[in-house]
Amino acid sequence: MADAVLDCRGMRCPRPIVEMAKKMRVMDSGQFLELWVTDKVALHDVPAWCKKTGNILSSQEQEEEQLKFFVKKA
Amino acid sequence: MGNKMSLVLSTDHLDKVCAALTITNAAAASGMEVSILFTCWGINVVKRKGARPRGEGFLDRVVTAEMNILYPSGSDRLPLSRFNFLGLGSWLMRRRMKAKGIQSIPEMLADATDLGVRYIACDNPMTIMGLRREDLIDEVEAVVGAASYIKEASDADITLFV
Repeated sequence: MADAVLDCRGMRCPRPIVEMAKKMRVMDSGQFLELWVTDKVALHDVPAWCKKTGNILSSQEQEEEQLKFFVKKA
Repeated sequence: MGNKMSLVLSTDHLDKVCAALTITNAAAASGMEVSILFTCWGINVVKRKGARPRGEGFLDRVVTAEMNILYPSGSDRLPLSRFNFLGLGSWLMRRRMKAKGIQSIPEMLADATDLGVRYIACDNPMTIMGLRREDLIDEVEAVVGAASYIKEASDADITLFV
């Protein structure tokens, strides 16, 4: 169960990443964020962002158009 | 892993400014310290809405009057680099961007500010365009010369020129 859910469906690059970064600022280390996106580039961008920032991408799901990422704040 | 980025924005074309801000915002969202140097026509991106360039002497005033007509101030009405068609192309493109969920330039600037992106402006183009510090938005932290940019760029791990 995630500590926070961020709905970025319909938003396009770079907005989901920007919104996720803003959300992460107010979260504590070890908490989980569930990110919902429809922009396909997130498949590349969310893992890349996690690598760059040191946050951990623990899992991801895809239901048709909708992508879900579970990211743990480092 | 480098953590500083410096970008020079030398254009006010909607398409190129969009590309530049997409990159700066992604960098800032990735935890990088980002600064943007606005120079040449890029100054128009941080020009305050309603700012009127001033000229001294007849020819100078003709040039600034022309700029007042051709460059409505504010980042919400930037022209396209091609197919602008006196603003019609830009208007259509802004509508299209909105319909597809892509942020507008003012929205991206607001995000950049929120993420701590620093704005600096180049002095020479401001003098040429008849603009003063108060004609630029408050977020611009300094009006500088080339040596200040060199200092910024030498500290940066990524430098880009748009």
